[in-house]
Amino acid sequence: MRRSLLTVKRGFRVRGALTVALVLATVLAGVGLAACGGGATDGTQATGGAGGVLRLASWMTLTTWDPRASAADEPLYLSNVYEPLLYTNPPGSAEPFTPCLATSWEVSKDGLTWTFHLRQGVKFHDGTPFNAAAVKYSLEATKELDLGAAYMWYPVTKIAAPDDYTVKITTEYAAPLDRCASAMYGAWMFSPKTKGKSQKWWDAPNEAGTGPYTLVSYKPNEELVFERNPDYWGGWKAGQFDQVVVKQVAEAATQRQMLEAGEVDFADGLSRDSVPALENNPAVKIDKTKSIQNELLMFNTQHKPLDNVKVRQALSYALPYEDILQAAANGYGEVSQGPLPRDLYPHDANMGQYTYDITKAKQLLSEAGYPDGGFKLLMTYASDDAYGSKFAPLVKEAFAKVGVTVDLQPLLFEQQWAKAKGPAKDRQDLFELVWWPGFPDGYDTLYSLFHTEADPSNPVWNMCYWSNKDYDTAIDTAFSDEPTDPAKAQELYNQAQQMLYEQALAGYLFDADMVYGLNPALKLEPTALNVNYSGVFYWYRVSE
Amino acid sequence: MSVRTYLVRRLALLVVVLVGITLLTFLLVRVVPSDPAAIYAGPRARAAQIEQARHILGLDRPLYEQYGIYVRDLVQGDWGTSLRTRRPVLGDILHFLPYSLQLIFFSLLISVTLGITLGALTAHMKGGWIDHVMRIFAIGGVSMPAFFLAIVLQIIFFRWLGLLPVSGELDIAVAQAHPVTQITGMTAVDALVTGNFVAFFNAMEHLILPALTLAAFSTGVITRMTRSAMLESMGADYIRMAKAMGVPTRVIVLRYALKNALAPVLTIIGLEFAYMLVGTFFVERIFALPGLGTYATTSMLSLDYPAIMGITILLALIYVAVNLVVDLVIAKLDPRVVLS
Repeated sequence: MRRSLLTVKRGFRVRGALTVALVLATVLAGVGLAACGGGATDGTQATGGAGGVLRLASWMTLTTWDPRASAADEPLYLSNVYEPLLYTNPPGSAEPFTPCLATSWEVSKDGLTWTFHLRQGVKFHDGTPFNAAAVKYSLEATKELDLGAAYMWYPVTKIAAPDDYTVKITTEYAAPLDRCASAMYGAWMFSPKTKGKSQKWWDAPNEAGTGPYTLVSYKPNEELVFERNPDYWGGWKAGQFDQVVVKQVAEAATQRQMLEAGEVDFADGLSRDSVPALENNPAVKIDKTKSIQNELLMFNTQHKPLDNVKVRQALSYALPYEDILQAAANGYGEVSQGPLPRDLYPHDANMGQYTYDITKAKQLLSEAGYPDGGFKLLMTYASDDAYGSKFAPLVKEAFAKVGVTVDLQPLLFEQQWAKAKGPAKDRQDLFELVWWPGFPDGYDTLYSLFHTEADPSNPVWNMCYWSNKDYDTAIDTAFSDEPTDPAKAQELYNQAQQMLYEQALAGYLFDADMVYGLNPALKLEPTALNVNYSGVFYWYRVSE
Repeated sequence: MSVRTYLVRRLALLVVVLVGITLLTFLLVRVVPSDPAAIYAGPRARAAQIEQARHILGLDRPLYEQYGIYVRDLVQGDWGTSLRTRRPVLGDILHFLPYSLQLIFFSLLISVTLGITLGALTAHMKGGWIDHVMRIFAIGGVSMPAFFLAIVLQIIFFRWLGLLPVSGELDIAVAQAHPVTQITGMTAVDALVTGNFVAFFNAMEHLILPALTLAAFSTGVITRMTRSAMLESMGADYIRMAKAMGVPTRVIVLRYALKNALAPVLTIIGLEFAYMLVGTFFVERIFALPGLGTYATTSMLSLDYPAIMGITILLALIYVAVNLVVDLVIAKLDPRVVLS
């Protein structure tokens, strides 16, 4: 008789448990494979999938749903749910603006009173009619909250609604309110029924726009679903989409796979170096549009020897602009002419431009007293933006050729920015910045980046730490002149830009193109992608 | 000591651990250069707006006061508000956690069953060709970085073979036609429980590649651990006695050796769970899955410090809880272990 001398007391039935686990695993594997047989990917090229659904893959996330406070990547979504009074057209268009919720507008001779005539027969998604009271409410609420782009409305002193479809806005000093009212931040019209609602309510999310699409569901970091607003004032034609589904996909490689497999009709996060291969793929159409986004390398004018203008000019001649464009954006863009992108009003097409010229660089350096360079510069760049890490080594290499040593420091953008705003002795010498204005007017760029700071000990964006009263006066006057004397405004802006060129405050590196991957069967209207609204894809202007 | 006393002691230790972790994370986040007020106020903010944000966030108060407020809120269930999503951090975390748990359980299932089976097999066939081949696999699994493996699997199974989907938790078409009712937040489980089989199969399909990627490292570790634990227990005297007495090999291996080898393996499983929690960061990002990993990486990259602290605390809690459970299970299984 065999006795088990060796049983472990109180042991559990390992064998039993193991068997169960193995069986379960086999079953699951079998289930998985069976499901695979049912067709894993939707490889069809049919547009929009089932029944008019437009599918997007986007890396853009929302910080807030509050139309008053939006200031980051929300426009892709908000621009399809909300509408402004008007849109700014790309430069070279027959008309400078396209009416939207306002059908026409004019400004008084002194530039201090703007009158907007509103579109009739428009309703908000919650049923409230759109009228002058709604415009007054929207603008006042935005200005009161004072977040995001609310600063555009600082000049406004009074908003009156003499009748249901007329709005009169009075300002303290003349300002181009038509441009402000066309911005993709802080210029949305939203329903007066939202009066008193907190930001928490908006972020629930809730929306109250007039636009062609309404929000159905929002899963943060995952997906958003929108559906068409059947009562939209613009009406609907055959071929337009019933539903829009946006998958939030942060990885460029994943977006590419989804686009190539026909899983999505639009991808905005493709990496530039994958584009040549995609251009050869007949299943994908690549759309390149100009944008109002550009790349700058700001010089710290408070650190020696960058306080010497000749040194800055020398370094401006030492930058290999074409190579930087190629490395950073695979050539998708254009070398900048000055701090404003070419397609952004009021860019001066005749202003001076630095080119890559090592001889001139060395000459200027010796004139400044640094014949062999011999100084060190700290360059910080954002490791989380698309371009910095790609061209930073080129700057180091290029400056080494004139004897200047560059220390590279990659930081997350928020950290890079915090460092630039920190104690003066710890600040960087070279600040890499990707920039775009908050409203379609280069004044925002010229002001934010180069105007004397309101509180110089607490800089916000002026990472050159530069201050020049003549420059300040020039651009502030120009801004005020825009509505009343546009020719003079342009002249003053030209003077200001020329100053920025002569002072060589930054390396004006390149104007970036926006590159999108599209389903070739989509039909886009010319303004579905508008340079002044970089990053926005207007779903209403797309059909299959 | 009794289980209850042991539990009380461990929980007291948990509190100490949490205090240490919150303090450490709090200080680290303050030391790292970043301007949370600017993040909160938004990229277009002017100086005055940033100052206002600083005041709203309480950043103008002394450090110890900020920490005190933070701990007080934490204890009351307010884990702060995300700078990025403007929603309560605890709510966000609890929203994303179930999906990650689903992924981790699936990965753990794969790695435990595969690992123990392979470990026992290779121990039994020590020196044979199976043993050598499996060792290569095990080391490969341990060495290959998760993000690399993820992309390789995507290319093989999606690009070349077209068998499995590349990303997401469900196909867009399936999600539209067969929406899944949220019960637990685990998509596959919810679909199964509500009888939504199309969505269930689709969700499982989408889980396979991420689970394989996540399981690779753990399978390797568990295989090696099981193998060496088995070899050790197979070499014990009582096993030799059993062999000498003619007990069938299958009975020796499965009923005696394996059970006794399991104690260190169980400890490892606890650690692997914790590893997988962090492993999800890479895997979810690459496969675009709506779990805690995606939330964590996005929060870290945007320096959303309330969310970062919330996640750190959650991970610490889970880690301590899992280890506690594992210790208790081992104590229950192995009479040689005495709780102290």
